Amino acid sequence: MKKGSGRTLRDWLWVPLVLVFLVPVALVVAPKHTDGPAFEETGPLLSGRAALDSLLQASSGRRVLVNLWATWCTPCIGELPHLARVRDSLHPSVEVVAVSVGDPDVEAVRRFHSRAALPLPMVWLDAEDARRLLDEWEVADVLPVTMAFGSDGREESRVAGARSLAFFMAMAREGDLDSLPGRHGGSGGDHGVLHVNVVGPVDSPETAALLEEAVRLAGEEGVDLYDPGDPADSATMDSLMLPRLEVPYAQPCVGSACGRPSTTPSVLAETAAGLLGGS
Amino acid sequence: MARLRRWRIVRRIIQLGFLGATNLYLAGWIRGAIYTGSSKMFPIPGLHCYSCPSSVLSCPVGSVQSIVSSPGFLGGLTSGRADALALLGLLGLVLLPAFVAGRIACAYVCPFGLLQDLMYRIPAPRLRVPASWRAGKYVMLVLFVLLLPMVLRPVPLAGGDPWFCKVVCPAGTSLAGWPLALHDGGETLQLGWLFGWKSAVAALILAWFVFSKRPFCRVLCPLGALWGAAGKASLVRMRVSGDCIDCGLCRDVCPVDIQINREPASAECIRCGECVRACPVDAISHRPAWRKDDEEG
Repeated sequence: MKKGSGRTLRDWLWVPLVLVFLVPVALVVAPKHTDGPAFEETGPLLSGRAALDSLLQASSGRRVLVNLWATWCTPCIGELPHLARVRDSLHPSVEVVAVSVGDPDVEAVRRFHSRAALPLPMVWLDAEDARRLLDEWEVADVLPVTMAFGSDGREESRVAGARSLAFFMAMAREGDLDSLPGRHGGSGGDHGVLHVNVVGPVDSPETAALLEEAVRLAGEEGVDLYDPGDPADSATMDSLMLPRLEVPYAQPCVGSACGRPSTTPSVLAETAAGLLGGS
Repeated sequence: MARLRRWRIVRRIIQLGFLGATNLYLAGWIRGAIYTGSSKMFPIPGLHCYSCPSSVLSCPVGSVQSIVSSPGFLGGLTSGRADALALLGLLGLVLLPAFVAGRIACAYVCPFGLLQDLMYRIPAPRLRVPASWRAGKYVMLVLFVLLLPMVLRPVPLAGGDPWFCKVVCPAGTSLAGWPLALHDGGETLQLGWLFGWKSAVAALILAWFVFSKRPFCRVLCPLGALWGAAGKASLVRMRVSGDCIDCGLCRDVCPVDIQINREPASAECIRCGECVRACPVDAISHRPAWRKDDEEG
């Protein structure tokens, strides 16, 4: 029978026992809130290669970080606040520009830009401009990529895969990148293990072809298949931020660097090769 | 007591049978990889990590968190989005055994329950868990499985985290985290302080199993909370007749330490039937909810 009164301290020990699990929650979440003061202004969203060139020109004589990203790339979204923090701290001596090179639809970028409200200029490039830029800068088919340009406009360093705030701070201040974790391997595009997410209806021949190529490239253990028509898969896709396209596709990733979604086995092979060998 | 011993053997066989049937991908232990086939869309009625190398089903607690933490889930609830509907289907599937016989799956299916049953057989001093601690699992369910995954968004604009899996679940750490980390050698899993935290939590909870009866089920398990609450409306319930002599033997044999004659409608009861077999005067029985006491004679 319940004894409403007369409870001892021991009867209440379950409270700290349960609440102690809030400590790691707070530790995981806290850095995001205590990175620094809230941003006061949102950077502009520009469109087209001409806008990017004029932005870079206006920054001549200063150090510039250019981050290549896309709205469907979860690691990119995770690291953009770090880059915003770098600009917020070091501007005007350092400029930071985020260039969307993987979004065919500007609306997705516009939505992200207004919701994220980050204080750094963003530039959207359409597919043709993006392809030309990546060829010109010899960037492999991988996101995110961050490049540091010196005050003379010459490229000094570049990294593929998501990085920390400390890393970007060092990159922006010409720090010793080699001493920081993440300069090589791990999340970089050159030393990791290939993983491929294949997305499409399981009974579609296109999905089967992509799956076969993915298994050839990454082995069975390195491949995950998601059927957008399946509610559980659909929910997992949302949690992984996998893009929803009209056709089956495969997205290769190495560590936290991801290649663009590929819709044919040959493009997948090319993208994966670029990811493993590039940057 | 011979009848109780026989019943325990039957229950163990059923528990081990379910353990085997839901862990068919034994190659996973050798390859250090998890099974990703289509059966993974179905939850096991028990606490069994999705990432346990041999598991061919998913964890219901992990699945619920995965759905409620997906971006836009709250809005999706009102607009009929696929993942919101999936949550309702999943909850229906998980709650089905509870509406039949409360926490019966804890007694016969849950592998973590089996582990606790077995570890409590190790000779050691016994620690009794106060009844008030049962409230802990309801807080776990509401806070770490539903609320935090739904509202906390550490990466802006991305989904939330499965906080129960991430900071609490000792089943995930012991059945998936440790084996996969050992296999991987820490090379690609990038083990950090959170892995250390969870390892410490899992080690402490596993050690507790030796000293107390099913402490995780009673104090921390969100699935037990869900089933316990739903079990209040179950079709099959416990009945204690007037023949009871209040000897306390039912509590001695009970895996979750309840005295069924004092709380026959307890949300804690896992319907294992051990008290039914142990009662010296046959005063305890299972009874359909619609059957009145006097019908039994």
